[in-house]
Amino acid sequence: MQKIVELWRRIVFLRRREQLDRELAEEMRFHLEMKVEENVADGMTPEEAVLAARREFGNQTLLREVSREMWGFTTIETLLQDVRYGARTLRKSPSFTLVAVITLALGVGATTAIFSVVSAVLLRPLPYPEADRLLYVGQLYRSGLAGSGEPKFLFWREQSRSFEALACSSGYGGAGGNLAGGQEAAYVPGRRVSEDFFRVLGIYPALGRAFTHEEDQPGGPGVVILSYRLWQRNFGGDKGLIGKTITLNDRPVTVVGIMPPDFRFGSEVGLFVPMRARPGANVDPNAEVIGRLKPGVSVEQAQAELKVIAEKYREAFPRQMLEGETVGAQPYQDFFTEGVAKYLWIVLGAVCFLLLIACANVANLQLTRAASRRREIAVRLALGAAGGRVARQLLTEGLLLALVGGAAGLLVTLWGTRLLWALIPRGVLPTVTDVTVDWRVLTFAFATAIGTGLLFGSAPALQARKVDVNTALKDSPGRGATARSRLRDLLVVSEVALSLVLLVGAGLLVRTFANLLSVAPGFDPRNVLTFQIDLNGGRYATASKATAFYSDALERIARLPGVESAAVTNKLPLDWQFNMPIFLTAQPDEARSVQFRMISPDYFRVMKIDMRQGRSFSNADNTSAPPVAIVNEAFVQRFFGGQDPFAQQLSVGRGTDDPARQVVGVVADIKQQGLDRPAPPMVFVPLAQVPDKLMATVRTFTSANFVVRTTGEPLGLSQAVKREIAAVDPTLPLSHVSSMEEIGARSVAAQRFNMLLLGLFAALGLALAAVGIYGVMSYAVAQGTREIGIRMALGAQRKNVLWLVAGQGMTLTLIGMAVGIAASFALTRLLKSLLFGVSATDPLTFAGISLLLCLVALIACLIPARRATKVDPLIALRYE
Amino acid sequence: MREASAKDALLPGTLEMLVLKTLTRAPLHGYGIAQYIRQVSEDVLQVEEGSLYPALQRLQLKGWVASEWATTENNRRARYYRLTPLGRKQLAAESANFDRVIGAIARVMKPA
Repeated sequence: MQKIVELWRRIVFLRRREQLDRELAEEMRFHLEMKVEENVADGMTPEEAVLAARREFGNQTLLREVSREMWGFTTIETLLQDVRYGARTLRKSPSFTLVAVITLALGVGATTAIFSVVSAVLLRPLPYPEADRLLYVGQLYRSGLAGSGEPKFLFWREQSRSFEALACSSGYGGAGGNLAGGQEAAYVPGRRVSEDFFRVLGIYPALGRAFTHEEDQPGGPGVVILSYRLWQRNFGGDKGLIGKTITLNDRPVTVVGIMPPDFRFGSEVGLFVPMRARPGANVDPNAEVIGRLKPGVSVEQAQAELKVIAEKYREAFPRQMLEGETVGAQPYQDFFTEGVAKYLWIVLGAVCFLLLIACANVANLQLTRAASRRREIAVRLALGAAGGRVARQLLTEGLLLALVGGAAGLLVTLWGTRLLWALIPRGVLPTVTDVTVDWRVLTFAFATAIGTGLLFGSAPALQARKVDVNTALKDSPGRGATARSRLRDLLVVSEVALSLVLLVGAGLLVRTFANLLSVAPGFDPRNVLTFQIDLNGGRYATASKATAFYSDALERIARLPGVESAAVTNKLPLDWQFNMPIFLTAQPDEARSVQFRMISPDYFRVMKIDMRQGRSFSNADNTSAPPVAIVNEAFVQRFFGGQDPFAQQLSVGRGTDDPARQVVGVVADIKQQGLDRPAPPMVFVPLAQVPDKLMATVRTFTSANFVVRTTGEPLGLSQAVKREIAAVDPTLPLSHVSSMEEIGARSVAAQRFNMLLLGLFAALGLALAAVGIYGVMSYAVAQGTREIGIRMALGAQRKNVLWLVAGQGMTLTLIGMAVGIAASFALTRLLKSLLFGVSATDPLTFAGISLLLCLVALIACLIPARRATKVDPLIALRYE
Repeated sequence: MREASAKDALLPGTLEMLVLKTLTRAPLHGYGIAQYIRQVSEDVLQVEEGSLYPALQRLQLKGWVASEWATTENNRRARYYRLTPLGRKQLAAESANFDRVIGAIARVMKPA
């Protein structure tokens, strides 16, 4: 009750606060007058009496403020007042405000843009209901989790009790294919999925239904579920398509479902077909198994159960399990983010450095301004403002600035996320469909802005507390040219140190990229057109039919004007990899997993891969000639151990129909998994000599990749090439049309992205640091004009003055660099996995970057220093 | 500044009690209150005069004193404060508490 009455009084008084204020002032005046009278009566002179009365009364302004605060609404009131006052001050110095806002916008914007990616990848759950119950299940080796074969999946599914459902999927073994019907024949990447696949993910077709148990059995009816995009693109979104038959790889299949538009699985999967896994058929030994945990079952429980199941499997099929192999599981989200998480945190850390530099810069700007506002602050203190009150006002001003900067930063973020999304190499973040500015990102931006505001706003606030009214009012800001505040020096030192770290990081990545580009890939990627044709259809089932198609098509393409030569392989260089077990006739029991290529005779000529020894393939190497193979130098080195390669025989595949092949040539090594990885051992065989069974196995995992050497721009020939293929078989669609140079560029896209991103941060950081040094030195010169004048009047040379001023700036720079180099040594180790051909503490990079930073700092120091030398001693001494 | 520290020696919270006690005699203005406290305490308790006013505002807010403007004997406008019934009760409570604390301190300082 008492409280309510009190509140009521507060409200009443709030409405009458001006009157109250007046009354309080009058009351105090009355008090003072009475006191004066009393003092006079005691025998003081009137002047003495007034002073004594004031002294005894205390700080009037402060007391009135305290009285007002008693009514309790002052906090909000003063806040509003501070905000209004702050806004006015900011408006009054537009150039300061503009520079500060731009700096902050860059810092907050860049940081938030990176955070939006972090949020999309690491914080946003996968786009499936209750995604936290999804587990990736796989064969667990000491090296980590790996994909699993279909027979093992069937066994796990039968045995496990931890999962509501367990599903397997694979992109190989006739998953996708050539789709006829609809607008245009097209190659569509697909996925073979087991019956519970959609149940595990928790997303079902929007139209039609999921696969039934019967459809997932071997020999079941041909059915397909289409992605929304494919349905829209090829069938115009026709709702009547459900139940209709379309042609996939020359076989009729019935469309039973269309997935919802926002369903995502893998990067560009267009259709799903039943997996039809059989215990005896290990079609894809690297298939992906996912499970949905039963409610209440923990990951650890599932892992423990899977371990037991693994041992049961080992008992039943001892030859199918390797030494030390078991079954493991991890949250599905981690499966995707594991690789990129560390990288993203590094990038976020790097951009935070940029934010800190921006903060230091704005703090510096504010200190400069605060210095010129010393008098204003001193006057306010002298008039009775409480020190804390002034500090709070400065802090409010800082926060206001931060919020404006943050708002501008959001614009940078919107633009930056779009740029980032465009730059991020495709396929790096398979689960992320878009990077948006959502509530998480907005919260982050807001918190960042407030945080920076507190950080740089507290610097002038701290300093305001130290203003000594007496000296500040006595004026003469002309302290020496050496007069700088410790705080500002500290800010410059940290700016230099932070930007050095960023620059060193960027420098290492630039060198990495340069090193990559200087790596010889082992072939000539210029003027090569490449495209894929998938021959999974029934018409080309036998090797001889496929070979006939290839030689027909190649012959036609090679005749095109502008084409020098053409060939076909099952896998392009710099484009993932494809291994087969290879058996040397000398050691028939030992399988070696080696890159395997089946090629047409002209392949080496088209790609300009050097023959080192022996001969290349020719059209004579056909079924009626003795079986042959060519290996690369890495193969010779690894497996022949100094023996004559031409004395060797080998065959390809386990339990296939491949004959023993005579090695007839050795070619130069070519890069396969990337320019930064050593060239792997490789075996080439002529397409015309590949037996049916081996060809079927290879085709499960790879398509035919054509390579065409052109005289001019390769992509210009794609239409002509398409026509020639259509002339051989009009139903076969081309896909992945691209130039070999593009494929090369794609293989270094990640390193290029790293370099661009960190380079951008470093450049911004360097610019901000330069501005920071320049600002501090300019200020020091402006403050020290009189001292410089005196020195020059006493005979100091311009040179001396120049070095006096520049020397101070360079001292700060050098201290900052020392700190930065130490920090870089500690931090660049984090970049190690991103580097190639350069050590994380590469002395050349460290030296070069230090030199660059030194030069930039020197320029930033010399401009104000030169201004100092122009000081006219007469004017400098007269002024003030 | 030496004076200030002597004035500050007033026990915290006692200023309000002294004000309430002063007002039991008759309504008074701020200056009068300050003067009275000083005189009665024979200059030992010197209120920092200005600090009286925030205290008076607080007492009003609590509803322990009320105020109105009136003219003084020499015909000047001044704000007179008077004790409310609630203030009287508060004073009783505070002085009882005060006696207890003083008694306790006395017993410690001069044990029987």
